[in-house]
Amino acid sequence: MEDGRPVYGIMTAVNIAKEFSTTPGPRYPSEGRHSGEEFRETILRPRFESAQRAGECLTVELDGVRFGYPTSFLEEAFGGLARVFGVEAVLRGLVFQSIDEPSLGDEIRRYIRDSGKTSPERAAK
Amino acid sequence: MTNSTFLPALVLGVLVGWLARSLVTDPTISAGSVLITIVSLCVGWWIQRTVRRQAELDRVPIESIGKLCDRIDELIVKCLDVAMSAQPTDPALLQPLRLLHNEVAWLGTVARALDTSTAEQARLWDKYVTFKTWLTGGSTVDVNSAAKVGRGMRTCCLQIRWQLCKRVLDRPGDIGMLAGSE
Repeated sequence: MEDGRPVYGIMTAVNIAKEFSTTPGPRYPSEGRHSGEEFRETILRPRFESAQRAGECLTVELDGVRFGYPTSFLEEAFGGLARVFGVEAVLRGLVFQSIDEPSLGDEIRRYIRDSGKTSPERAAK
Repeated sequence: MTNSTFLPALVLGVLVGWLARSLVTDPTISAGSVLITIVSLCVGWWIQRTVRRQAELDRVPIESIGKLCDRIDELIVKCLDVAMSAQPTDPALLQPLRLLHNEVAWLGTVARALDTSTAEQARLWDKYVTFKTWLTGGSTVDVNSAAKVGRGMRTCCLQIRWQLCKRVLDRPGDIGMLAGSE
């Protein structure tokens, strides 16, 4: 850490707006830019694995996006992570921070808990 | 009538009754009757001032809760209107959804601070997430399904509004608990 603030790009924190996009997009790359799948595979999953190896939680900073997060992005990113690593491991291994939308973390945790349910969108892929 | 006005009202009633009895038994104006009249008027004035003051103070949280619920209604309608011609990732749809998120969360904060309507608030929150999912969870917007959930949200809002207002009227001092909430 520098000056007591987390340094992005190192294992235990990820800032979606600064490191990925200020306009999160749809679920899959085929549907548009800055998709949830792209975020998960290029940033979230490697960072989560690093944090897990270090025995630490990954802090996800959600502020800074311009218009908010579509459900498809959040569900594919975080629900998709839970489908790989398991619901409990992801719930334990992620910490969400947001001042703009204080309850966004609760919303994401619901998507994680419901990640095992069948989705027509995922079934069609 | 609250405890703070019951005793003065009782005193007023006794004074007026005493005055009426003394005027009936002895119609001449005496110093005692004048004194009782003045005291009765003062107590009556104090009672009406207290009751009116409390009514005005009660209106503040009740109107605020009403405005909050009206705002949630407006945002639900706005989201559905925009969704008719929007894609799930359009800023025009995401912006009001984000505002709706914050208003629902604030209503939940008020409900938790007053320890009222917590079950209805949880239901409202669930419905909000479902509402948002129908609008932004897929490759296209499902307005019909979202509209159905939106109606459920508005019903929940109405229930919460009624319960919160009832709570404020029953225990007006408890509104100070909001100061300690998030």
